[in-house]
Amino acid sequence: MLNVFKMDMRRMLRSKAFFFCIVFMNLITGTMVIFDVVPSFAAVMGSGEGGSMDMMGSMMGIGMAFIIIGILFALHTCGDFSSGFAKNIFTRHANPIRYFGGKLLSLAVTGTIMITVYMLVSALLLAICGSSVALSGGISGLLLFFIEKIFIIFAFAALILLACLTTRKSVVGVIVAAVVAMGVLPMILSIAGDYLGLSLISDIGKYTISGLSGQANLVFSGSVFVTIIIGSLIWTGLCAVLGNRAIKLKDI
Amino acid sequence: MEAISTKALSKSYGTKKAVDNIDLVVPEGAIYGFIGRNGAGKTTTQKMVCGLAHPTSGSVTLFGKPVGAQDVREQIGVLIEQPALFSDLSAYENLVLQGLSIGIKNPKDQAMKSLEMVELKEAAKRKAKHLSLGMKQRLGVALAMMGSPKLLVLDEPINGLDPQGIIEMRGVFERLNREMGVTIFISSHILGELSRVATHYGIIHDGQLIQQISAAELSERSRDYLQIKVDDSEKARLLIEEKMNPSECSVHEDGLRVFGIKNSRDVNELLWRSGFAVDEIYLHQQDLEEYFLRLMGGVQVA
Repeated sequence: MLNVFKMDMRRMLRSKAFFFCIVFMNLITGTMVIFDVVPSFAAVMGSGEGGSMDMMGSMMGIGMAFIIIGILFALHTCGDFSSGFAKNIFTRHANPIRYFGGKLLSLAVTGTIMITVYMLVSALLLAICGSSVALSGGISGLLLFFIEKIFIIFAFAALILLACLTTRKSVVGVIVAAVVAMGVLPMILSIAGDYLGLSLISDIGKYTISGLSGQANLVFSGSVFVTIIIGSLIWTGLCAVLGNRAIKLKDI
Repeated sequence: MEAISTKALSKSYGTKKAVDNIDLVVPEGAIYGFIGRNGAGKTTTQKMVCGLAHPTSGSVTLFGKPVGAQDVREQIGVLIEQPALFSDLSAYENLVLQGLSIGIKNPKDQAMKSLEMVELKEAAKRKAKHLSLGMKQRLGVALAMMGSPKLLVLDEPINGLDPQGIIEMRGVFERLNREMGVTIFISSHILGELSRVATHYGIIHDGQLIQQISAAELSERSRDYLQIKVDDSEKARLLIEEKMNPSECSVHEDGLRVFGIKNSRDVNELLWRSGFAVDEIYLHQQDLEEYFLRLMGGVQVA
């Protein structure tokens, strides 16, 4: 697993797409910060206490970041199959979990690097523009928020990996990334719940990957933290089991 | 020990049987030439041998262990269908990635050694997408050799190589086989070239392994004969049968064929002394290509 991780990390750090995505992501956020579309750090991070800017924050802030990260994940993973390099990997690794685990780890590390850069650049630009960079939950709140996001990145990466391993088509991975990052599923469940008058259906949306990401807050809450960690782990595990099965069933 | 052994190996895609009940045996240390027409099932068989395709039924054993065992999988190097390369990365970088993926200690040193072995050192920094087809093939072989595997599974590895490249690659295969004891399971359409290195052959047709034969057996079965063009073939046949006692002598459209005699000078002298006008006389050696075509022809008729 570690061998696949090392290999994949090296490939990622040598790809133009990785640097292009970082620049593009920060360019968009930077533009929004400069033009005051997202006036605070909370709004940039899509944290739940930005008032009327929350929606904007989660859609255009970290939601946008997740779309870009997801696209990168999908292209990177499907590249193994379109180039044929997967044949080299799977010949030498009999157990598919080695591939899934190594790949998941490298994507999660990549996502973490990207989110960190995004956070730092946003904070810096907000400070330069004289906007609020105040941390309502303090440094510890920020750190725990960051940990929550890392767990969500794992679940997000696992889902995209599953989509790519099942279909071997990057376009499917990109669509999955967009659907999750834009919170389409919780939105549909919420509308359906309201329409049918069943709050249970709306509540299910909170436990999707998008829903879990939306719960993350710069102000620490123990129950939310536990929900996000356990929810993310369950999603990651489920995708790993299904991904493993997809590799075993499909020829390379 | 057998490097590869398959038992009743079959693979179907829907209703089409791509590989049908194959019992293949590749002895350790052999260079096994796997021959068949396009679509005969060569690549599918090779993929199943590497664990890249799942058999519909049957089993594959490598060095006495099932193909699913991790320790045997670490002993395989592959080049199947096309060189599996990241086109945006350099030749060197592709090799380093392969080295990291299989966990070898000095992937950078190994990468350079592999490049040297396939004469690609000068193109180390060139992106894979800028390499010629022949260079990509060589890089594919270098990738397969990373980590010094005991078994190489190569699908058309000399496709696209120029004559010089083919000779160099032949040298690489021979060196790996003789000096390092690497077993090579190789498919190729360039039968003339294959016959120069292969120690064993397997011939596959419509998914069925119709023959497995060693190079020595093949040479025995591919009978050499004297091909003679003479003004009266029938009379010459009677004379040769009477005076030289060949194992077989027959008249064909392209002339007379004499089996069991390899000395053309003696026959030429006999014919000349007897007043025949000899236009042509030479020892015809049946090569792998002819053997294959003859076998395929037989299969088709059957």
